[in-house]
Amino acid sequence: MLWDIALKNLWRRKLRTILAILGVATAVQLYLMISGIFTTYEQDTQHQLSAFAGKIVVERQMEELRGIADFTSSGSSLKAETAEELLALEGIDRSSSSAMIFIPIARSVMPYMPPAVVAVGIEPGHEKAFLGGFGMESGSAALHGPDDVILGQNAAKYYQPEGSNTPIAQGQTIEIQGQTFNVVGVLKQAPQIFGNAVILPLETAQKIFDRSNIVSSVILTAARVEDTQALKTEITTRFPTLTASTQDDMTKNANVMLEAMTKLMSLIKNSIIVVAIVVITIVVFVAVMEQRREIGILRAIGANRWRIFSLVAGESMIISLLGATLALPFAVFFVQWGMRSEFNSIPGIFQVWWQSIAVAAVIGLIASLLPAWKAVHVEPLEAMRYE
Amino acid sequence: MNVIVETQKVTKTYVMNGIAVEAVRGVDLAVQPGEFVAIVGPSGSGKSSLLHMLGAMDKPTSGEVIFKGRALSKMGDGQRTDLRAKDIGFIFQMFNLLPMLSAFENVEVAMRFAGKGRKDRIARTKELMDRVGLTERARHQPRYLSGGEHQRVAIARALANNPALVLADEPTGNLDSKTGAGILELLRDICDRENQTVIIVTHDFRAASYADRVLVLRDGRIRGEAKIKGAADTHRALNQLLELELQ
Repeated sequence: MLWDIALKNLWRRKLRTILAILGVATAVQLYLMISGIFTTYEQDTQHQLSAFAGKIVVERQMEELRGIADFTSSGSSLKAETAEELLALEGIDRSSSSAMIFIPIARSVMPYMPPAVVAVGIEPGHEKAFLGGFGMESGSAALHGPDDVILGQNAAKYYQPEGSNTPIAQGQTIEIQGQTFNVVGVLKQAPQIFGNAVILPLETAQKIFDRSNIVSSVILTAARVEDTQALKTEITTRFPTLTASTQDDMTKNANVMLEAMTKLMSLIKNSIIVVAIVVITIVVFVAVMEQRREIGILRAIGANRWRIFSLVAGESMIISLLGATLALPFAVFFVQWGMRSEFNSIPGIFQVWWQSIAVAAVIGLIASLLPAWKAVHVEPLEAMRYE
Repeated sequence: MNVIVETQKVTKTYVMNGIAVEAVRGVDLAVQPGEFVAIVGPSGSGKSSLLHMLGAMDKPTSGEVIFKGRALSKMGDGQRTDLRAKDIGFIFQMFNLLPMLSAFENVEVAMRFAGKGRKDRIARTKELMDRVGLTERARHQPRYLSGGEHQRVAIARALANNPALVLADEPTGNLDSKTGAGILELLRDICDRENQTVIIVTHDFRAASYADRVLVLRDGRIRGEAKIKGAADTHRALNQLLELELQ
């Protein structure tokens, strides 16, 4: 392997090499961003779904929203009486069950994503129904007064004072609909819908958002996990206009959406790979044509075809691997500064970075095939006459 | 008879624009170990074509080239390349050094293809740079070297793997007479001290006078041959060949 000659050849044509590396870095950066965002979204979705283990979410789906996978539909609407009937069912754990209302405060910049900040009204003392086992960054997971709120970590950033870089903390106040609320707790890093939540007493939420006697959904927890399915059947039988979704149902819905997104992402990523291969092929091909004489000299003094192939492949892989390495800070930079931080996909980017290095190595190898084929067929005598 | 390389009725025909041009026509020659042979002829006489066939860089149209008892026609590309790596050293008129490598690296790279280890390569390169008088210029790239220095590096590269045969195609063709003489003296010295077999092709009889034996090639055929070293009268031998050349 003539790595040192490959490096010297690339160094000799610095400008072209740098431009090729930047081209590959741009392509790989896009690959990383798409993969990272999707990986983070997928993991976040799984994490959110795990919070609903053993739970049943009962809603009344709006006809126009039917089929859209969203387990926190703020478009669902139930009468308070219906909610009470549900909460009175046999076999449920009342302390982990609650009627809830979801009202968006700030919408997401991305379509079909949950709101960036959402008010979540819940019965005080039944916060476990929604928060489950999520840890607290500070304060308490219990609402004691009508003006208490618990914030998710993203909601805390949303409410940070103007000019400040510090999220709102426990003990401070926020304003919603002109009313002041006390922050009694801030969640630790929780998945998206929970991290975006402003959790307040149900009655207070109904009052300030003018939703008297209306709830969005009821979260029920079976007293025994094995009774969850039977409970769901009872609900759908007794309340035929309502939908009851277990964790499995939510997972199925989420998977449908994830599958569609996966196909789209794969199409985009494959296109990116093709572009990167074409860019490197062109650059290396031109380099081989320019180095015809040197290749002829190497063949004349005893370099066999495999060595010539590895020289060309080496140049190609150096470009692609350097491009992939450079892509990481580019991707982090664009995600950090170009997108709203409601969706932190940077961990996802780091997770798939090793994968992009492997992809870059393969891209480099594939891109070198045509130029290398050309190079190994260079006849020494003919090449040494080449000017 | 102990022969390093020999040709048996070797012919080389090129087809250019549908016209066949016979560059070499039925040449028979044999070179002994330790011999310094010069093949002299005007431009277009076929001497370079003959040299390339001797060096396994080109194939004859007919006839056979036999190197250390092995017929080159029976070798595949890989075997011929291996032969060039280990057993043949080439010196070109245009020097043909690799521009991105230093003088030292240009010599050292040839040993990689012969499978030598790094320590051995470095030691041998230092020895050769010293041998050709370029120790002080070893780290310079070719663009900083003079023509004579280029050719010295090329000679060092050709000797790197202790080849059985060194072939030089117009080694002084791009050099002034003084520098050219220096190069020929170096080749002569290598031949004498290390019993290296050398074949040069040249159009210059003065260059040919350094050889042990001179062959005159014209129109693809050997027209005459004279033993120079050990000849009773070197000048007369050369003059006879010159007359042959001018006929």
